[in-house]
Amino acid sequence: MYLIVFVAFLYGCATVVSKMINYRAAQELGTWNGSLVNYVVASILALILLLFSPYAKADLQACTAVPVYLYAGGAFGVIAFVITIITLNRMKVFQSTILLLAGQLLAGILFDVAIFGNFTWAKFTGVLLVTTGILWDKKVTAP
Amino acid sequence: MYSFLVLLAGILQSAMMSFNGLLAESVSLWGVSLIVHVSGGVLLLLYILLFIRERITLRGMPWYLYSSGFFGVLLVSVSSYCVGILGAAVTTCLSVAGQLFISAVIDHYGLFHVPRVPFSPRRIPCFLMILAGIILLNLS
Repeated sequence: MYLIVFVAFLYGCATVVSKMINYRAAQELGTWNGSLVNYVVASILALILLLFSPYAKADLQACTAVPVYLYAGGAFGVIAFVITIITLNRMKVFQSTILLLAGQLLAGILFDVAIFGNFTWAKFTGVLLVTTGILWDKKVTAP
Repeated sequence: MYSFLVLLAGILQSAMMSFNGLLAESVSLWGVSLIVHVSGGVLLLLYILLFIRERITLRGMPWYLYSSGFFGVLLVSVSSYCVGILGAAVTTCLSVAGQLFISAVIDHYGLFHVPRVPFSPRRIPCFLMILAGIILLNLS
């Protein structure tokens, strides 16, 4: 349990490094081509990893058995990306970050209840504390 | 209106994480990454061709910037793994806490050639509050 919490924390750290690399790539090739590179390289890498992992023989039966809407994740990601880029000219980065986070946590709590069926008040309070702390920190550091 | 759109973007991101977490059970973690990046890449390519009408170029950057794809694969797989165990809300909380922590470290030491911004003591109570929340999440 503690290990997975640490992994999720490290995941956040890696997100920032990734954002900085993507930001540099966008400076070189432009916002759109810069992120397209990310998708192209990632697709090739994921394919190689899949082929050389023990999962290579992942049965197609399992892939077709899951509800089709679960495959929409990639599309959602791109729509979110396009919205963020387009609206960034019309609002402050600070505002955009807060709204993104609010949407993520709001939906996160709802999806956890709807899909995974787990809700505890302790967890809810924890999420609330972390969110308040983040908003407070954003307020303190806002230019 | 724009605020609502960005809020929607956040909801979509969360939906993506939840769906990916569920999908990983059937198609493996690398499989999720492949599906997400192929479908996302094709859609992004179409969007650029149809609406932005920008010339497609993928070459001409310093080689190390291509590592963005490496991070892309890793981040999708790791987030799918974490969401499967912790759920979307807790994973998001921990991830943002990690983001704040590493950003503060990068700013403080001026890593990656960003301007140095020393850590402000005014942020300590905020970080403590986040830490308290994480401990509570751990106990539940």
